[in-house]
Amino acid sequence: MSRRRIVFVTFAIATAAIAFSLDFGTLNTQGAFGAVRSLLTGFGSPDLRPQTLGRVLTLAAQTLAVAILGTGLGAALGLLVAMVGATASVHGHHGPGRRALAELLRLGLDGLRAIPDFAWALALLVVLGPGPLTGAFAIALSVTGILGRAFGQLLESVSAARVHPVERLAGSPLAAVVYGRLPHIAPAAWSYGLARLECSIRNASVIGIVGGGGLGAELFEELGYGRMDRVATLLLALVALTASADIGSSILRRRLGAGGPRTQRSARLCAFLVFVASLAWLTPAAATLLDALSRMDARVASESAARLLQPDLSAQTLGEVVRGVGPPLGLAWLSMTAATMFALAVLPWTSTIVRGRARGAAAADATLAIAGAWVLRGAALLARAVPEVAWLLLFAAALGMGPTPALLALSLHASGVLVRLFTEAVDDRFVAAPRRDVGAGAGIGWLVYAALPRLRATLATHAGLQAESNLRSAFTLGILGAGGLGNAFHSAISYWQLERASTLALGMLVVFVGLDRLGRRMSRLGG
Amino acid sequence: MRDAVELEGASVRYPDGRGIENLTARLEAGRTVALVGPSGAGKSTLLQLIAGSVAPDSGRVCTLGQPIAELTGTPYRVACDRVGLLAQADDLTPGLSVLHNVFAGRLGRWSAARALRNRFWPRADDRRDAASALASAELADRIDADPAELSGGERRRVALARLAFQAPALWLADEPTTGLDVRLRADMMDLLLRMVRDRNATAVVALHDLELLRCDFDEIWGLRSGELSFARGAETVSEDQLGVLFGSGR
Repeated sequence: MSRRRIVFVTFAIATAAIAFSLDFGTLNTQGAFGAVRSLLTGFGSPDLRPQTLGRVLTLAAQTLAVAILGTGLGAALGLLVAMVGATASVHGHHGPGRRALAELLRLGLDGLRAIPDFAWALALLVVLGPGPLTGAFAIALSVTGILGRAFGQLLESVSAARVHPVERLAGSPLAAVVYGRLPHIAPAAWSYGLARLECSIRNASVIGIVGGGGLGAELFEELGYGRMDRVATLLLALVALTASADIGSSILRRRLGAGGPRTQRSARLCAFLVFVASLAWLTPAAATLLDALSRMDARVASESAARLLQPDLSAQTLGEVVRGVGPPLGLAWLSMTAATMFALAVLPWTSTIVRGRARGAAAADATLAIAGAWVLRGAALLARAVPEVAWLLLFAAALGMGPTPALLALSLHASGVLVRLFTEAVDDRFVAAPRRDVGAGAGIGWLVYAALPRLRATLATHAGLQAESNLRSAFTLGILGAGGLGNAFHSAISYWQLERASTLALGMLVVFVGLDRLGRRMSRLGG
Repeated sequence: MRDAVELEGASVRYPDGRGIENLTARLEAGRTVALVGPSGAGKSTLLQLIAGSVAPDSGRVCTLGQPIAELTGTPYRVACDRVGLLAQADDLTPGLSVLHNVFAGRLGRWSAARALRNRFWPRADDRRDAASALASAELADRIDADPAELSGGERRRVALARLAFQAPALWLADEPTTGLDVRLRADMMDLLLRMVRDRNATAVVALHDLELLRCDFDEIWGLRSGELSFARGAETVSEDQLGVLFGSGR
């Protein structure tokens, strides 16, 4: 058997095994029909009274401010940590001490990254109380981990030859990074930051469910009361917000990529102004936060912190971690597989360039194909504009809470993301390619024989990153009741069993870091 | 006068057979020397030896009185600061304005705090010094430009201004006029030599374009197959010697 076939068979067996191991049996299909009907009725007549609309607009603005504040803080912190970490690779400055520091920082970033912003919000809630700033800080912690790692990799990937003239001279390694490496990575860093802001807007729109402010809290409440007309209004506002962030960030990233340093200078200024505006918007919340902090008992706080630092290592809790790891892993794996297959399957219709190659067929077919493409792209936009958490709540309203709605939510959202990434990968890479490849003309033939083989590494990277993101989301969905570690973490925090919560968070960290290192080793072997 | 460069039986051997073989030479401080020879003769390797980025396999190399390749830590960086490099390729940092590219020349002398401050709010005196370095490279009006907006010749002159701002005691340049059009090459070389003389510095310049020997060098060193075939005053080198060096017998 060839190596590729072995990989394929292993993959299939693992997928099947995981699918069977998850408990999908607890479906509440009896009430499903009625729930779906009341949802649809709600969407048929959303609540559009002026005071509701005003409230929704305020909440949407708050969501945006939370996302911008969180991403801005996280990006700044992440950049700082990445720069300090990168000093270990500066010419003439790498000693064992510096390397140890870099490794320590990397581990810290992994920790921030492994624990989803929902879990951070739960932990911060204990100290800060509910409010938009709690959400902003939770997002900032998670973004610090994600962007810190991404910026660090970018900084280390700058070729030594390009920065040699600066690094040879530099007396301080930090100055070497600022003058030598940072300017090189600026365009890519902007692009990463904008992509992350887009995700943060999505997350901020639901983080209110655990006390983070914004649209989420209200959405959760109205769903609970069954007021579907208001749910519809809130969801429409949410989709409008996230979809415009999606489209806006695409346009901005393209413009930043094409523009020179002057564009970047104005981008820096704009980003700063927007950040300050969000800060100003959330100032009223700061008063509440300060109030909560002033009322906080310092003794209780330090006691709680000490308890969090002493994980509960009893056999029972460790067993809970081991059992809890399965569901999120399985959900992440299955949803990644489903989404990848779906995105590949629709690629012939979503990709402009594949359609362009297939042209020459009858004009009516072409019109149909274009219409189909727009429908697919629109559906993908909707699928990714609604965050996994909101999909989960909707599916759970129909099917009851459990792994099934979680799998549907994760797969749907990830499909939306991957359709966009795969389509962009094909269209960006081959936009100006001459038509002299094999199978020229035939759209699908060209895709399968010429385009996909060349893009395998890119697509695999996208799918891998999506799997990581799905794992994080699977923990999050667990917090809301879909099972697994997240569920246990939520109950531990709710019952103030901080040692147990700490062990469970460590469990998330170990799984996450283990998979990350494994993935990196595998990609190194493959490359 | 003290020697700026001192090589005693220095050898470097690369796996492909190139390198420097048992080279002995000295260069007095304040002199300018042109390094000529066919490609693969070892000009770049010799410059790397002098800069300390390559250690000799045998023999001894002393630059400004120190064996740079053997130094580490602060003494190494201090030595690097006193030896300026002008690379063959355009090595400006993109996305960094001309001013900050010039600032990079003094990173060796600035504290981390000063370097970081100057990246965002340049001190008036540092900006003035950088402006005067740029003025000496005839680029005073491009101080806030981006390297991407400059012509190839202007970019090379920014690299020169960066060196002027660094003000090293020894200037090492590896074919600094590569990629420039014929008319600009002599201008660039004249500018380089003028800057070196104005600062009483020493310079070693590797050349592939023999036309540039008309510029005002004090000495010419001829390299062939990793060996020094001659080292003498510029006015005493004959066309025949150059012909032998390049094996053309002209």
